[in-house]
Amino acid sequence: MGEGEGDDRLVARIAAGDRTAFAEIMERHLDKVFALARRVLQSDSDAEEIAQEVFLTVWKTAETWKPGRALFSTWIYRVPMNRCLNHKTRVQQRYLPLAPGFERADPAPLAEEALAETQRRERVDRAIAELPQKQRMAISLTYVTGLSNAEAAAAMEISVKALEGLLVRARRSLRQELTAGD
Amino acid sequence: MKLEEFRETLDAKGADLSAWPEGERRAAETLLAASAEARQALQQALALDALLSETLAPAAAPAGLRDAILAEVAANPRAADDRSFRLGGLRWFWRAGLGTACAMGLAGFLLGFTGAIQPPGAATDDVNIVSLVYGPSAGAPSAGGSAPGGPRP
Repeated sequence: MGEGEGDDRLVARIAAGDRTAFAEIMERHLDKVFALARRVLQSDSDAEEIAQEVFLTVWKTAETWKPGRALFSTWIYRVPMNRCLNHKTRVQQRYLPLAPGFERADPAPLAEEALAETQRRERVDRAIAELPQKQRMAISLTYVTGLSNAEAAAAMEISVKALEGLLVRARRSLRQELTAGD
Repeated sequence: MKLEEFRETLDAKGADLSAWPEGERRAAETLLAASAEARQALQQALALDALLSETLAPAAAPAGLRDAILAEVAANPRAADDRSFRLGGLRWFWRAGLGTACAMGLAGFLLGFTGAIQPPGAATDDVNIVSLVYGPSAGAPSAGGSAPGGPRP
């Protein structure tokens, strides 16, 4: 777990006030933290707010981090998960705007294949957005961060069995939704 | 392993069989060798995994977000830094107070030792003045205990 060890060393440097170490750990994890929060909350502005909170928490409480008790990557994804669970906004029916490069400003110039790809991506985004929040969290942790089931379960503070139950229901729903009408 | 258990495990652990516990992986491989339905289920699971991996791959966070976080960090000293700053301030205050007290004590000692000031009620100068005006005997205490400067014969 080389990256984990590296994270621990960086956090120790942050605890000593090293802003270069902070910038490095932010570079390492910001994209995933933002993508995870965006996927779960279905909102760019909420995801930005959560990401800021997460990294400010890292900065202000680095000295309380206990290396070896958990992976830093598990902890840093647990923070947005908890924030998302406590978030007041109900987001069930909101859909994310398309990621850069997938805007459908004028579909005419797009090749038929690219248009089909865009539509397929929209369909997957919509299917994920329609999942219940905890299933969406489990799926997002697995595919956005690449955590193992054990690590994702730790990030959600649930048992591995409970996480796998969420994944089973989420994958079945997605398969059903994505193959309907084919 | 039965087909239904295989499907359930695919949905629970994903289509990458190398990530499965060894016992389950071996049982799955045995089933795959014998069942076309199992092989089809694996293909569907692999396709879903690939689709989700591609769709959920994290895009770069907005460029302004990094700057905003760094600005927040610059504006928010860490809790530990806050404490050390506060303790540092107290130490500075304590040292300044102690230094002032020492300086004042030394100044008082020097003034007193050199006679630049007298303690309240000291009568030494009064006696000397009486002696100078009325003679040395006038300044000495009388045997009858009359006060210095009393009526002369």
